[in-house]
Amino acid sequence: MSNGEASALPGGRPASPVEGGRRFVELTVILAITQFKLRYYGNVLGYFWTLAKPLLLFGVLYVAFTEFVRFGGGIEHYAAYLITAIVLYTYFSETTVDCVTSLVDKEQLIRKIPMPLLAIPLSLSLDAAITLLLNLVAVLGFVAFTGVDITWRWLELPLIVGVLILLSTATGALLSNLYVFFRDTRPIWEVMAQLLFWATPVVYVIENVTNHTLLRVLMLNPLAVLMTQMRHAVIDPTAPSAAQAAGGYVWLLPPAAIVLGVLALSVVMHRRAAPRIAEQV
Amino acid sequence: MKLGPFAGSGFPTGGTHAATLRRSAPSGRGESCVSSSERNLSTVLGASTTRLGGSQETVAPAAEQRQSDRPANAASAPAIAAQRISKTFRITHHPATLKERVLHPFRRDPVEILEALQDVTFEVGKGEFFGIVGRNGSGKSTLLKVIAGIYRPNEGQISVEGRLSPFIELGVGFNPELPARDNVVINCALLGLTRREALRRFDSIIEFAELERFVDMKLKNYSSGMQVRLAFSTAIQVDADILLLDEVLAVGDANFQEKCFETFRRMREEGRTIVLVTHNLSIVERFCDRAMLIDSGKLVAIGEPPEVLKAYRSEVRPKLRSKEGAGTPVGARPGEGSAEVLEAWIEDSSGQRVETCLQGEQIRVCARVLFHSPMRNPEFGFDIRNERFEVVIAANTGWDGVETSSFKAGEQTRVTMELANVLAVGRYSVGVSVAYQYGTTVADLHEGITGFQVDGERWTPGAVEVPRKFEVEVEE
Repeated sequence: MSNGEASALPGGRPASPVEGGRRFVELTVILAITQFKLRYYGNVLGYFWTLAKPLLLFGVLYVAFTEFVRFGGGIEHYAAYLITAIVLYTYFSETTVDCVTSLVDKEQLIRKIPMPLLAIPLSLSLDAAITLLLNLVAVLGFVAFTGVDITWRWLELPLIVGVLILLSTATGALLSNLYVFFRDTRPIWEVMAQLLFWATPVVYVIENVTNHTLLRVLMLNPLAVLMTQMRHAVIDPTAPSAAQAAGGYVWLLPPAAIVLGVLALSVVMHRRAAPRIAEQV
Repeated sequence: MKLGPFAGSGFPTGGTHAATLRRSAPSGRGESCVSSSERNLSTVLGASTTRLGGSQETVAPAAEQRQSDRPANAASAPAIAAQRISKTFRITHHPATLKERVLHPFRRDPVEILEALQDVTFEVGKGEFFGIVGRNGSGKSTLLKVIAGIYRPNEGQISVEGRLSPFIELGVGFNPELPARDNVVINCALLGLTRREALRRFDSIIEFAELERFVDMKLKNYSSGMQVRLAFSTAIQVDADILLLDEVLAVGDANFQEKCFETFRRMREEGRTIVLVTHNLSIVERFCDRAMLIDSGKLVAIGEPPEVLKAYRSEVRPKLRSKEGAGTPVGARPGEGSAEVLEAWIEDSSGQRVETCLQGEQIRVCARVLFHSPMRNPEFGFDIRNERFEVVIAANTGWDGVETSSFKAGEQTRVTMELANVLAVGRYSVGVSVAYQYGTTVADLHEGITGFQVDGERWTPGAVEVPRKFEVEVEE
């Protein structure tokens, strides 16, 4: 087999590797596809399970807040809002929580090959975003089925979801870098994600918050802004938009600044941390 | 200069490693790396310059004489130029936590500083086959990772001229749950190829790896040899001017190793630069144009392979020896303890204790055993393991039907096994066992009690080198 024939290179000349942004995108997409495949590979129930979790949470919360607490009953299209908000929030919390350990989990790769490290948390986020879009299709079908009118305002949804994905990805990337250096990032963030769930109008809506100061604080939360706007655009046009709930467009600037701040912080943090990640994971 | 596949991506982990911690202003695209920070470095490191500093010769790229199809090779700029590289690792005993940071912002856990590389300077010429040797833990793999841009050096600068492809591990990113096709795509993506390119080459990769019949199988059902073949066939798809190899040759069967060497030989003929990290001296002797020896993170010798290997034999091996031979303490060894293997050593046929023996000569493996309780007809066994921890020779007085008489408590005996040294060139460790009751009860088993080196003229990927004769006839 060491004759010239067999040792000739398979596929002719070796291929030139792609560089820079193209390589980064290719790598992110392929890692995301792999994770997606692994979840569903030979598993017909795979997709069902990813939908089952938000559905179950919805079922429990719906029963709790309409039958026992009798709180949701007064809200127009409560079920539709609850399920949509849950799917969006679950995406955020799962992406960020999964991202935390992503770099350390891929230690085998990072130590062996020079690669754009951000591709790792970003691929996780991309994989989660694909699942989110699949879930949204199912959920919007349900929303329409419960009697919510489909209007042109639904076109706002891609923008809302886009900002959510941006926020989740930036937060996830930030946390994944942080975890390399501080191993208690994970439990801390899990608690934070719990807190954020209640600091975001998911089981309640923004009008339920009557305390003015509390409302101000809540509307600093970009997730609260997104959920409120989503309700206005998709579920119930008579509900207040994010700007109305916050008390004017100017009050939307702080949460917008938070989103951009997290994004900037994750980029800066990664630039500073990247050279040391391979030896710390 | 090209800075490897990942330069300019904005992700600093990539190939740009004209790096110092001080971040000397990246001079253009890195070619003129001797900048002001070099002066700073000398002041920092001036005192710590090692005795080895003098032995660093800047050898003109040997490969220049080699004809090649790449015009760039005519240029005298080295493929890799490392200037006073130092790399330290900070080892903390408790993982750092955010909680600690917030509650005690100024308290720092004690850190242990591990100096993996100290002031290493060398150049690799274009088209050279360059070997880096050193024993385990000498810093050679760290150096390779610094060259690859995975680790950033704390001090010093490294510039890489040309596209660099690291073979630090084969099959990075392989997932056992997926079939060959997906794994090839992942591996290619990590090496920098696009999905389309990977898929286009898939059939020929499979063919080269001789895996046509197993394409749809999940990787976990592949044998390790099959996985290595798949990984290797994939890795060589990537075009690179410089290849970094870390002991990848140690895996796979002899056939496959030959195939690897064949490929590397061809790559060298094409004018590519190859840097190989290994502790297999015979490979260095056989393939490298130049080599470098590092020990405890310091450069000990650099130059022609014979000189470097001489340095290895005189400087590194004696240290290796003093660390060996201790083996595991009595309490931690298997065996119920009624006898104890005190020591073991290798003798040549004249009865002289040796650490190195030549292939083809008679050698004696000897052990001294102390009996703590009376024992009738004990059985003594030796095993000899190679660097891969494979038992190459295992022998036992019981299996050979040798009567060994009876021993009283407190008596000592010396056991000798003489044999022809058919072992392949390399390092070996010796294990000694004492058993009784027809070998059913182990009194002591002392693995790795001593070690020795086999030197010889002939290199083989096999485990032994036996006398043989070839005949090639034309059949009518």
